[in-house]
Amino acid sequence: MTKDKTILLVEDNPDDVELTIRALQKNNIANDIAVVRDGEEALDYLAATGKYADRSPADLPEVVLLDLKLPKIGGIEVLRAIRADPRTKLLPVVVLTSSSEEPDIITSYQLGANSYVHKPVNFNEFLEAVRQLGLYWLILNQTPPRR
Amino acid sequence: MVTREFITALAGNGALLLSLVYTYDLLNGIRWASRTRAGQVFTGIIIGIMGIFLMQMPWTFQNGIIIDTRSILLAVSGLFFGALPTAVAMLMTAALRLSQGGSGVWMGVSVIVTSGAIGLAWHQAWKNRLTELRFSHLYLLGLAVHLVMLALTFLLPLQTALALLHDIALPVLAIYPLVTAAVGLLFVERLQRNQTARVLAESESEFRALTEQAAIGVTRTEFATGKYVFVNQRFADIVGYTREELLSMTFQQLTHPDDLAEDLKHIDRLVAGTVHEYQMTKRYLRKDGTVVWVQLTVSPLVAPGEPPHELIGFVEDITERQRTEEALRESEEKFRQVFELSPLGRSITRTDGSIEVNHAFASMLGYTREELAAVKWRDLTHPDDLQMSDDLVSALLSGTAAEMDMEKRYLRKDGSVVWTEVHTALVRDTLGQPTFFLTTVQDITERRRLQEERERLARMLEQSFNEIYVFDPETLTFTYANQAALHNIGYTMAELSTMTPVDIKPLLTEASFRALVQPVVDGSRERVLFETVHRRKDGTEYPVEVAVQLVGEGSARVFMAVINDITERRELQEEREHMASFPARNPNPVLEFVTDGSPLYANPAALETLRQLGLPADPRQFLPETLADLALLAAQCREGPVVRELPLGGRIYRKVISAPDEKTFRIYTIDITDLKRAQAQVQQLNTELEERVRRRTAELEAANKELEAFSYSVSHDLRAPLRSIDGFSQAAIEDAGGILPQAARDDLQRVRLASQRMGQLIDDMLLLSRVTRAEMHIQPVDMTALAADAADETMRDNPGRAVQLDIQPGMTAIGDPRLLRIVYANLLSNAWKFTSRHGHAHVEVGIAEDPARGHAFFVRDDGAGFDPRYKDKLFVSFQRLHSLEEFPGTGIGLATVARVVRRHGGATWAEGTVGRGATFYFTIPDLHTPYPSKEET
Repeated sequence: MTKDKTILLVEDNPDDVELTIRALQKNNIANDIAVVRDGEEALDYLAATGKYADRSPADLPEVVLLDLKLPKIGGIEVLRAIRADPRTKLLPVVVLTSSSEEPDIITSYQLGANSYVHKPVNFNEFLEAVRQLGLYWLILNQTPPRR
Repeated sequence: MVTREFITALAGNGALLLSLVYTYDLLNGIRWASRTRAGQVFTGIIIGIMGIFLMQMPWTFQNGIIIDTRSILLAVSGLFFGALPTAVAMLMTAALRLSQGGSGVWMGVSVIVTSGAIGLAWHQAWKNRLTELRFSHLYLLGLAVHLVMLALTFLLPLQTALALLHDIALPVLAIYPLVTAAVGLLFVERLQRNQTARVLAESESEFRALTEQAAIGVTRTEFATGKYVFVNQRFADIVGYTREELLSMTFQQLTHPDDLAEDLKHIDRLVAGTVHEYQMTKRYLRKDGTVVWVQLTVSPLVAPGEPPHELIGFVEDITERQRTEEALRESEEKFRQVFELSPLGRSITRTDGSIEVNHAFASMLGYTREELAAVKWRDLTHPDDLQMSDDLVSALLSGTAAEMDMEKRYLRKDGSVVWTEVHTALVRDTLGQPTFFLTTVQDITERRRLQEERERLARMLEQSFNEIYVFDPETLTFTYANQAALHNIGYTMAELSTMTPVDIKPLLTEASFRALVQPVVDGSRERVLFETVHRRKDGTEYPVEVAVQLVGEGSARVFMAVINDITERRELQEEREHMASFPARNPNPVLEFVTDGSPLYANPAALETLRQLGLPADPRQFLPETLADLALLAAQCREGPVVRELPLGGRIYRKVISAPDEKTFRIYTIDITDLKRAQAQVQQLNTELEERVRRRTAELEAANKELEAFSYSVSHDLRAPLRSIDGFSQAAIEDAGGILPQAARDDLQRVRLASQRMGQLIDDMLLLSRVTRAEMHIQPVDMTALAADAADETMRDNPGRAVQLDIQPGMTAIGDPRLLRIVYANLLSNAWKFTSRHGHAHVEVGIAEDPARGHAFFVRDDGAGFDPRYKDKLFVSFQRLHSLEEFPGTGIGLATVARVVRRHGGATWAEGTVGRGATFYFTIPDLHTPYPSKEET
């Protein structure tokens, strides 16, 4: 496993953060997990601005797990910003949300989400979903080459 | 020795024998000598005397022996004179010989007998052919007689006989047969001559008889002079002269001068030999100066090898025949003229069907006579009349009728039809064989047309719907009533014939009736017209209009009454009055104007309205349009009634203007002041209402947005805590599993289950809400594919289930495929769920025909089923018929199904019994307006 790669988790609900991390760990995904609480933080993290100004802008995460329902800047806006920025245009983004509203799913894909995962109530199902995500994105998928 | 005496005797005998021949000649001329018995005896005596003479000149051989030629005499006599004369001669000569006596007496008598007998024997043999005897035959006779004679010498003493034979045998045999033959030949010649003479005489007498008794005249004329040498009585009768007079006349004198040249020319040709006879018809001039026509046949009377010296003529009086022929010719000519010149068409039809026609016939049919010469009568006859014509022909031919009449149609050359009256007679010859039909044809087309016209008029009269009566001008009794009259009045014609018009007109008397028709009688009026009442036989009455006139001429004048039953007219009049009361009693103003605006009619209500409004009583108030407007109005009214509003005296009227014709307007008005007022209020209310609706709609839209936001936050925010509850319960079990007692672990497990169930509830409610709100995309849907897709998902979610699934192929519908897929997903998921207790389940998807609702899609399972009492609760949200322990579920699935189907305009229902499976039905109408989502919420 490539331990040096970071997973950016954009999630405001601490329980969900906990459970997601737990689920990742349960699946033996040992990457560093950076957690941001809202859209603004997420964009700051990626652009290495604001609170994350000390970060290297070149240090992009391996994958972004993006909740849609976020304070300040919504997930959809974050996704749009990521795709609008040539630097992060090819960054893998997995929309991870409890919403099963179809417009959300469609919008996500239209904006270039690489995947969409519905967070089930049943934790075991969530584990399974995460497991498959991890396998796919961190092992099988080749990340686009950095510039 | 013998010779001198013998020859002398012989010469004398020869002379006597010759005299016998002349005796024969002599006797033959005397008829009775050969025809009567006495004559024959006389002949025999003559011959006997000659025999006696012969015996007087004998050569006496010796005493008592006499040789003479009696043997020849008797033999020839026997042969030519026959039995009786010869017998007499034999008796006489035998008597003489006996009287002479001597030694040769027996020989002498024997010679007499045998000579006569042999002659008679020859006679018998040659009886009818005496003329054919030849020298040889006669010589043989002589030889026979004299051989016998020589034989008879032996009746003498032998010495004498031998001496005699020695002396005479040679001369006798040399001379006697020759003499016999010579004498015989003389007889034969006589006989031949006699026969020729007899034939000639017979021929002569036959000719005479023939010519004398002939029915035609016979003449013989001298060729050189033309003198008559013979005429018969008939010829004399023909020319009226005596036969004696005629024998001094020539044929040239007798012949009519005009015919003589031709006659002579014929004779020249006879002479020239170019003809052997000629015939001609010529005239003789009779003694009395009249002319007689004869048929003359002339031939020359010629002897072979000589030029003609006589002409023989046969004359037949043909004056009578000539006259008959003349009469016949005249008759034929008359007939021909009658035939030709007749103004009636005439034709002669031969039995082969060919016809000869006269000019009138040909022109009647538009042909020339030449054209008709080659035409058969059948070709000219109208096809429909052929049968009738054939029948007539066969009737005539069979003899059942000699002549017949019929009416038939001929076809003219131009194809038109001619009606004719035909009279046909069959003419037969003297043997009764049909020769031809003589037909007289009269063109009756015009007559027929007139007749048909007359019949048509009579029929029109008879069939007229008007009652028509004819009655006598004097007695007034009815003489005729047509069908319509009889039918209506109810009397028969027999009954009417004793009645008068007064009898059926209860309102009139005879005097008043006569007064009514008097103008017609005195001629001051052509007809009179009056109304009265008729009484039928059954007593009922009806109003009538009567037109009476006199028709016909002189004594044939009759009254004719044409009756009009005016019951209907009366009723119409009443109805018209009734109808007229409608505008009159109409409480609304009704008016009529001429199109130029001048009033024609105003009903009482119109005038009353003007009065109440305090306006002048002028109907024009209701039509205030200017002249230009009126023209426009008239044009508009042609399209249909025009509706206008009319303010009048502070009130408002609606008027409907129509133009029933080009010249009038009709106006119907109604006071709509109150209506107008009410309309204004309604208008205002409507305006307010629309404003309110707009406001409410905006509110609703806002509420809807809120609802969507609510659903969104429910889907996120309501699930997040649940996820935490479930997740951390699990985490607790995992992290502290070892130290927690089993009961606590079970509790945590229950927490998890409860949170998961709530998550499911939330998901289902969101789905239900989405189904309700989602916009519909209607398109043709492959329901079979949808069902199969949903079934695949269900099977994925429920691995390890053995379910036999049958999906009917080819199911289609018009609807939203996304929503319809939810229907199948729910129903199939239910089917799987409720058959989970079965080891082997059967689920069927298809279309059933429902008698009330048509095509119904269904999903059928053989699972737990349900109590049909609760079937109405199946499709209600959160209603469950099973406990969670039995079958998990939220109770929202079927509600979702029902909502989707309802949005498609369809219906849902279910059938089932506990433990026997369930069937869920839904219908998707092909075309429908989807329920707007707002009303659904």
